[in-house]
Amino acid sequence: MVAHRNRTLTILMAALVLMLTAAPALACPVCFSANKKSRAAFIFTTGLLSFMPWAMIGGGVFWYRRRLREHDAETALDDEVNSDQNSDS
Amino acid sequence: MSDLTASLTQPSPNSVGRRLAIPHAVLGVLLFVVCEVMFFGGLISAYLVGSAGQSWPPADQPRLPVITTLFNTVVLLCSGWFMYRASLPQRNNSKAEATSSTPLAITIGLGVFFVVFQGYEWVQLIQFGLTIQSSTYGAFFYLIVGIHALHVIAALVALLYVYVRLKQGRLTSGTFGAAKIFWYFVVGLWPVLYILVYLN
Repeated sequence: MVAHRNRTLTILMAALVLMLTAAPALACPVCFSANKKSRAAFIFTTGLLSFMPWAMIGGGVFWYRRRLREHDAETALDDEVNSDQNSDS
Repeated sequence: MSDLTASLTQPSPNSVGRRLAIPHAVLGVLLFVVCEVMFFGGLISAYLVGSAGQSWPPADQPRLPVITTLFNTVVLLCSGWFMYRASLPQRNNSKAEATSSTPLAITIGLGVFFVVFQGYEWVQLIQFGLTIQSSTYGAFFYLIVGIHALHVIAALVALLYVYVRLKQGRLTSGTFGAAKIFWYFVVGLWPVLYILVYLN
C-alpha cells in the first residue's frame, strides 16, 4: 500500500516538474517570430488547404447526384423507346 | 467516320448492357485532378508564405514578361474554348451539328504553341540570369510554371491520343471526357498561376 502511494506521488511530482519547466517550442518561424505579412500568408494558406478538400468533396457529391438524376432520366427514356419498338414489332 | 458525334455515340467496350452514369476513365481522371488541385494548392501556399516576408520580386532579379505571357494566357484560354466547341456535338447529341475533328486539332495546335512560347520565354529568362538556383524567386518560378508546363505536355499527349482514336473512328465518350477534363484543368489552373506568379 505504501509502495503504491510512493509510486503515485513520484509520478505526480514528475508531471508537476515537467509542467513547470516546459517552455513553448518556437519551431515554426511563421507562427511566432515572423512579420505580419508572413503570418497573414500562413493563416490564409492554412485556410485554403483546409477548405479546398471539403469544397472539392462537396462539389463532387453535388455533381454526382446531378449526374445520377440525368442518367436515370436517360435510362428511363431508353427503356421507353425500347418497349415501344418491341410492342410495334 | 471522321465526325465527333458519330464516333462518340458508339458504345463503350466497357459497358455491359447498360450505360454507365460516369465512365471509368472520367472518374479516374476526376480523382487524379482532385489530387492535382491539392498538389498545386501546396505549391501555391509555399509560394505565398515564401514570398510574403521579403521584397518580392527581389531587386536583383530580372522581371517576368507580363504582357507577352498575358498573350500566351489568352492563347491557352482560346484552346479551352475550342475544346468546348469540340465537345458540343456530344452534349447536343445531334448528328446535324456534328463537328469535324477541326476544333480538337486547333486545341492541340494552340496547346503546342503555348508550350513552345513558354519554352522560348524560359530561354530568354535564363539568358537574363533568372535560373532555378539564382534565388528563391527563380526556384519558385521554375518549379510552379515548369510543373504546369509538364501537365500541359501530358494533356497534349492525351489529346493527341484522342485525336488519333477519333480519326480511326474508335473514340469512346469516356476517353474523350477524361481528356477534356484534364485539358480544362490545365487551362483553368494557368490564369491562377499567372496572377500569382507574374502579377504578384
